Amino acid sequence: MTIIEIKNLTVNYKTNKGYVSALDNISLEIERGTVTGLVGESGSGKTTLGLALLRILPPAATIKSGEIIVDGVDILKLKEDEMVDLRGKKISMVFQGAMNYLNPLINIEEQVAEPLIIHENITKKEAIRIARDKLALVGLDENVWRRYPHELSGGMRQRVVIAMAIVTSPDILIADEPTTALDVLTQARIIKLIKSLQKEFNLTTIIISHDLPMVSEIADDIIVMYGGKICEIGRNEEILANAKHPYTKGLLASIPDPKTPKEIVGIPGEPISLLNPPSGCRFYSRCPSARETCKTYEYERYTVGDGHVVLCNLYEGSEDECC
Amino acid sequence: MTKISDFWLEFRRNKAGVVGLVLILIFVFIAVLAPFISPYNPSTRNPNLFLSHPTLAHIFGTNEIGQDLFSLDMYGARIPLEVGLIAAAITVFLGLVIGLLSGYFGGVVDEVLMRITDFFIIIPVLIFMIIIAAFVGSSLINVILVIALLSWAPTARVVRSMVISLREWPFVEVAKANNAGSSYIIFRHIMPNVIPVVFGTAMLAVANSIFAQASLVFLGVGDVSDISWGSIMHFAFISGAVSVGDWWYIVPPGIFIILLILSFVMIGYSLEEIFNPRLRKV
Amino acid sequence: MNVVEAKEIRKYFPVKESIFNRKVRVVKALDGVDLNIEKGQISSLVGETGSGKTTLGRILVGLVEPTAGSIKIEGVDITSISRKQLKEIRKRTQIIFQDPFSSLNPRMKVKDTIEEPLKLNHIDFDQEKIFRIMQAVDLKPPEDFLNRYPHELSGGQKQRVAIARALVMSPDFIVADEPVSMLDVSIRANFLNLIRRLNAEYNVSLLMITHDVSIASYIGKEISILYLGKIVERGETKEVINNPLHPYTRALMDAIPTLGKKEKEIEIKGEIPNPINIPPGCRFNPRCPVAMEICKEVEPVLKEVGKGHFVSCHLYK
Repeated sequence: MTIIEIKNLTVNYKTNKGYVSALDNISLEIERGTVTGLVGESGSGKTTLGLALLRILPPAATIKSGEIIVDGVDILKLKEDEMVDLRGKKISMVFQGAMNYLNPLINIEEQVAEPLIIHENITKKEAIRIARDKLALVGLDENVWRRYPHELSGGMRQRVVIAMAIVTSPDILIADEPTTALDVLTQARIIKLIKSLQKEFNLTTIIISHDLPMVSEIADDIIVMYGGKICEIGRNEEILANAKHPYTKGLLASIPDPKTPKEIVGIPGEPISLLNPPSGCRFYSRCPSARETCKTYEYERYTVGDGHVVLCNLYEGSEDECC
Repeated sequence: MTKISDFWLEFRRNKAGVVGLVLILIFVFIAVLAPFISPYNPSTRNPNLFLSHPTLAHIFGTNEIGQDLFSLDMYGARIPLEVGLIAAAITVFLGLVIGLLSGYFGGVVDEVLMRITDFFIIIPVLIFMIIIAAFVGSSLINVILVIALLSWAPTARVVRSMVISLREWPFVEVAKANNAGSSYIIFRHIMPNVIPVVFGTAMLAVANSIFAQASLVFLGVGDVSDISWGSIMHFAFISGAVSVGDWWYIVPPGIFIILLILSFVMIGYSLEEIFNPRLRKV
Repeated sequence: MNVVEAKEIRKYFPVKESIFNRKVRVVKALDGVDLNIEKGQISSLVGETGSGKTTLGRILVGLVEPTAGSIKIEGVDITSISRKQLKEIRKRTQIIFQDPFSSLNPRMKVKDTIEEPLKLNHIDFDQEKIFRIMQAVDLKPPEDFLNRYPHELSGGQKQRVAIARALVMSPDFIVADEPVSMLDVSIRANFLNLIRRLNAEYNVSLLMITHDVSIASYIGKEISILYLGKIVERGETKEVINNPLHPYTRALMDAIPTLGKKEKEIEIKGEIPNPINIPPGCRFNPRCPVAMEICKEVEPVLKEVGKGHFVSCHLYK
């Protein structure tokens, strides 16, 4: 059952030199209760997509067109106060680096209780009770509840942020780079935590990250983005075993695996500027399989497997071959 | 070349800054060309026109010794600009040197210099200026020096913070690992990155200096024998013109002072805006 | 001969307490580290925050003085020579930092940045040499890049300039401190392969400092694992990766993300302690799943357990 459907979303950022095409005609679907990995590098638009889902884009950004349908409702058409109801309650987000922006003057349980107090009509006492519940759920016991952020380690603070995000029992959780700046062992534990919360509450989870291996350990589906466009969508196993888009293939080939001694190959060149971007495929300049026709490619979707969609000129007509 | 044209593009975007620049250019133009464009020679007196009202012949009227106020106001632009720019130059130079030494060498040098700086930040500048000017006399040079002496402190602080941050940056460490000495690092790596930011502070220093000079002269502490807007306002008071309500004597120079100060402030803010975000990328 | 021979390196940083407090606390960033790197070899140093890896890198190029220990660069002990001699040695070692942005002076052209070490050390050179180095680091065509400023370069290009600057003195030894961590994933491989190529072409020894075991496994012949200022395991990369002996190394190997859906068991509790409060005995003991009594009291020593495979742990006799 689809819980999020994005149709033809285009977001531009205004700068003094023109507009930056951060997201161009993006369409995707996310099933309820699944973990989706939104993978891309800098400039891919993945963070913009996350912010758009909560309608908290910065002032310089404009949503030029498109629909974001969450549980049947196009949130782009909602009034701001209706949106406020959704934000933090139905859809929650763990922001990149949020663990460094906890309020230093308020203790942990009160900070975690805050979203409840804002959204629900309950007493502070009740909110704190629920907050403590959630803190225990993320592995922080009563020693921590009345402490202040500076007394906690990075990993513990990240758990606090996650607790804050789930305290209102949201349907959808978006986590933007939830493991940056954490040491390897803590990273593994945080990912494990996210997975267990997801399972327990049937939480629809979207993990935004540049770290494909990390995301692939718990994701059901993977969406690969490049240059403000979607390249490929598919189930985890399918993407890893059978990637079709040259960018995805390039990405996979560039990841070293300590256990397997293979040569890794990077993708040559650098991402193009999205300032007044060129028409056609945005990966063209770096693509090993590029053809002339790619310069006018309009990003049609081609289904190349069950639930496996690729947006690449090379697969034109391949629909006849599959299924 | 890319840098300068880039800079100009950025600068143009800030309308206040552009307005400020235009105003300053107008004032400079008037000040420099005063002898050629003023309707009268300011020392020409017409004893029949003693504190006269504005007429077509004398747009701002005349003062108590029959001189044309409009011409006086034009010549009056010179000293504020002179004082402003020279005092600011000394201020910035002192601030830079002290900030650089303090920030780069740290330790005892830093402690001593910063305590001195603190002192100069705390003292009430205008009052001190009056006191010192009263002691050393009120010639133009003294006024300039006194102003500069009491204005360098904030710049020094700003420079010091930047230097402290810059000296830890990797490109400095690489230079050190290649046997760079302190003076190389200061002149080649630190100063070029500090100076653009100091420009913004420098503009504010000019604004302050102009105000300080006008105040000192207005109060009669500075030398009133040279024509400046401040001195015109001073005489407006003393001659009794203000008491009889001859606002055209005192108001125009006052407005000009405010406009000139505002222009530098606007440019200063504009420059800060341009250079500060870049600094974070530095 | 070993290009780098570091013995018993210690670096303690005193923590400024109030003037009324007599006891001076120290942060023991490095507490007895040995490291040897052969000519033309790439050696990896894996450590996380608080391990002391960056401090070690800086000490090896003479930027920071160790509190104790000796460092021999090509047989010369740099901790006990005159400043003039130190200047000579500095010509043979270089360092590359993590952040491409702050590694280049924004007011200097690419040309000036690359030429800087040569000018500082009064070495004559011609344009050809600069061109060749730029070609070697894939800044092609060199003419295009010479007069650019850092803000006109991408992150990857900036880092290439930093590498070119390190190579221009034909050093014997380069410390690369997390050189790819701030680069996009898809271009990291380009850099790692570039570093390998340069190592082979110029026969320059390299110390690759990283927190990412996957990177360390790809690029070093030998790997050392640093934890809270001490080396807990060292050996040939393939051997340590496939047969980790120290519980910390084992935990690291289990924790590194690899492609594919999986469930992971993380047995290690807690997080890396603050280096100001180093646990007594084995530094890892509070978090170790197999800690024994002796681990809480006695610090283990680095011992050879397999061929060229060293570990510092009481589990191994």
